[in-house]
Amino acid sequence: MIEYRREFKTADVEYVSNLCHDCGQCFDVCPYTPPNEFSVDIPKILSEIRTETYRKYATPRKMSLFSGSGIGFTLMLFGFSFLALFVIYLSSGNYLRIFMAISGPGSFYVILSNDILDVAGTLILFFVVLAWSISGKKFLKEVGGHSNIGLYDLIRAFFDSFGEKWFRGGGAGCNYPHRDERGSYKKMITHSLVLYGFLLDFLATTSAFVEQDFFHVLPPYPILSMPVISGITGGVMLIIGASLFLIFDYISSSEKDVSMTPIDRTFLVALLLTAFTGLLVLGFRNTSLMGTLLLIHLSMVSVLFISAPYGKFVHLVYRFISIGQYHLEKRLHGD
Amino acid sequence: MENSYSVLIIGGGNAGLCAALSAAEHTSDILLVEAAPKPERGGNTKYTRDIRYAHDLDGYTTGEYPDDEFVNDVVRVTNNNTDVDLLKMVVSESRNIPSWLQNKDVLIHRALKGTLHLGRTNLFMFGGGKAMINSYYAAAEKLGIKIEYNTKCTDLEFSGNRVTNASLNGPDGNRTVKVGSVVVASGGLEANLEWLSEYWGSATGNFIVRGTRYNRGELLRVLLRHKTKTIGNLSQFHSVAVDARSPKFDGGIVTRIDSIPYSITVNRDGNRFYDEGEDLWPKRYAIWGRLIAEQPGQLAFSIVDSKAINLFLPTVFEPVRDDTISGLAIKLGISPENLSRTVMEYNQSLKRKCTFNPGILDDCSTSGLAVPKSHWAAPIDSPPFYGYSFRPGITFTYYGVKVNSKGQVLSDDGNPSRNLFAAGEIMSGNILSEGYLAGFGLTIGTVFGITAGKEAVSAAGS
Ligand SMILES: Cc1cc2nc3c(=O)[nH]c(=O)nc-3n(C[C@H](O)[C@H](O)[C@H](O)COP(=O)(O)OP(=O)(O)OC[C@H]3O[C@@H](n4cnc5c(N)ncnc54)[C@H](O)[C@@H]3O)c2cc1C
Ligand code: SF4
Repeated sequence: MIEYRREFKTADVEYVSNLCHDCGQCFDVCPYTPPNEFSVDIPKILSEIRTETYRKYATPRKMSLFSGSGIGFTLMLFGFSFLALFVIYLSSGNYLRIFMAISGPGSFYVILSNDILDVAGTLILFFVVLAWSISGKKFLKEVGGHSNIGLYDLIRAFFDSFGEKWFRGGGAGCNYPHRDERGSYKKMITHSLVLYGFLLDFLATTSAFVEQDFFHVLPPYPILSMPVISGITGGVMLIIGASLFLIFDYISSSEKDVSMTPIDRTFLVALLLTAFTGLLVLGFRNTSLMGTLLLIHLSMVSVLFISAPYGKFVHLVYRFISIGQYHLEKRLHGD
Repeated sequence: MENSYSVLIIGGGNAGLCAALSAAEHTSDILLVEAAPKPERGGNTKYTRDIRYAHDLDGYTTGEYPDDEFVNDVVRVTNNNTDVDLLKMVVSESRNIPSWLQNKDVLIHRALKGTLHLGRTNLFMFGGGKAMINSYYAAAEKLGIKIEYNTKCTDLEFSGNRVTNASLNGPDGNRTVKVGSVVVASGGLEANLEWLSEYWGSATGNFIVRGTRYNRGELLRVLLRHKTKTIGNLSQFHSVAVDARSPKFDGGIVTRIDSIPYSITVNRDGNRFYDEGEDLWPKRYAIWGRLIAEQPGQLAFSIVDSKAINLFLPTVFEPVRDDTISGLAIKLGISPENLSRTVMEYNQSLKRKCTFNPGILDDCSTSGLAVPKSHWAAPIDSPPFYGYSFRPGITFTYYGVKVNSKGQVLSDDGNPSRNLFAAGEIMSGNILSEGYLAGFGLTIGTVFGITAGKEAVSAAGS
């Protein structure tokens, strides 16, 4: 990718930093890594710049204040979401219904009304898409310059992303979790578990939406149904993937100085808890715990999405654009 | 810790690893000691990029490189000062290098399209020398070769023409190990500036060592003590012009500056001392280290103007910059009067009509100067002006031990040792006794490493 550019400006470095997926190969093959006097640590530098891009292009910009710290912001969001949902809960029906075992079609909506959930969900989703789009556009304007990304480039980026192409490193894999480890597919597998786990959970939500609004079948759904099967599979994959990431991260933390780590961890923990509470809701849906668990789970979901434009979730926007830009430049150079 | 090994390999660079991996095809009772700690392993090899090898048309280069041409190239650069038998062996064995590399999981670049003048004769390792050496180490670990970092060999014991024991100094102190045979692959002595100063005097204080700080020639000293036949002497080394601000050791390839042919280059007194445009830069860059070593204070300064600044690769350190020549001189610590006079005389000596062309030996030259500039002589008149300060950067030394075609070390009387071998920089001088041919250091080390490793196993058994 570097060979397609001659001079380096800030935007170029931002572009490269978002192409970097911290595979560690350049660190492994660079003779100037510490203790060399030049002390070059490319993945570390790129990680710093990447973190900075998330802040710089955040929408709205003011919110970027939160994106660095992660934990505090996330806890606050959780508290806020829980409170909001609790107020909505209190606004109708019997105050004590949260402690009752409710079952049968529409049991979830006894706790929180269907309409309010639909509206809140749509609003949040709309907010995320809008914030992502604006940030992505700002970023593209900086890194793309006068060149125009075409549909072809975006399609390539799409296949690269969902095919986990770069984690495979052309067969070399990533030096992961340890920097001095031979390349392997450990990182690719871990990332795939999270990515596809997440997509399956998303599918669960969408299919539930379809069943309910088009076929008028109200949740909870039987075990052998699209929403539940994909929800369980996705949830388990997410839990395994996110835990693996956290474990790998932890055992190699002393060798790496990666400023992205706090943001990574916050996102992973949020994913993990969302998936975990989701499974809990499913497991206890016929008991008196369902109401409380549902409130917690939905609060987690909203944390995940409201923080999406500021935390690690946003990487998909900048990375996707950068890969598209890479394909564009590759194409323009006739490679 | 074990105290007896079939094969001991001294040095963990290209030659040492090739020897170890080759020996491992026959035995697993191998100890490799590397003086550097693990993060700094790989000697000068980690700074390399390419290997020269004889080949027919293949996917790694832009054309064929026949044995004869290869042999002739070496004969030419060494002024016919080479052991032709050893040379021919290296050249014909070099054909196996790509398959050897692939076997050890070293990735090779596909042919680089016309970018470098080495594209036809040399292959480039994917990720460079450090990637190659990392693959070698991974292969060695897989084969059960014992590797001790931070461990130096400090002495060898002989009985007749056999080595019997080796003294090692490691993290746990000193110990002696019994050895079946030994391959010395400990590189050159370029980092031992104290030793070099026996010839160069205090000038070595101003030398920069481009490669590892661990190549101190200890084994060469040991072998000298044990009456080994040597080649070359302390005066010889390969060196280039590097930025004077480079680290004393381990600056690698990035500290080299290629401004000289598009500049005038002066010493501390502000005088030019050698034809900057004598020949194409790839043929000349290797003489400048030595030229600078001979200047007062081992310093030189290359002056270019804004027309020339983009003609060569950008440098790691920013050049010094000023709008006037005298201002630049003051910043660089040269006498402003002298530099201004040198620039003026140079500018006045230029041909009026010529076609400047950095790609060829063009017709832009000076006339009437005591030190001419034969090509690319363009006026230095467009501010801002830029200055780079240089010191000699030593790449490697030529001083080493004499070997035969098995890699066996010869004693003073010309008889080979039964079980003592040498490979790599410590014996490269047998073949490359002077001059330079890019990518040839690794060729010699690889071929002799593989040979010595194999021979060491059979010598250990007898
Ligand atoms: C900046 C630079 C770039 C170069 N580029 C190229 C290139 O592109 N192509 C090419 O062919 N050549 C290149 N060369 C030359 C090349 O590096 C050498 O020819 C080659 O690496 C020599 O290999 P070696 O194994 O003999 O020595 P090294 O790779 O230097 O290894 C010697 C090892 O021995 C160890 N050692 C030293 N003393 C002891 C001791 N007493 N006990 C135990 N261990 C010891 C050292 O720690 C070191 O690891 C370059 C050199 C430099 C400095
Ligand atoms: S993707 Fe890998 S090789 Fe590329 S910069 Fe990042 S860590 Fe280095």
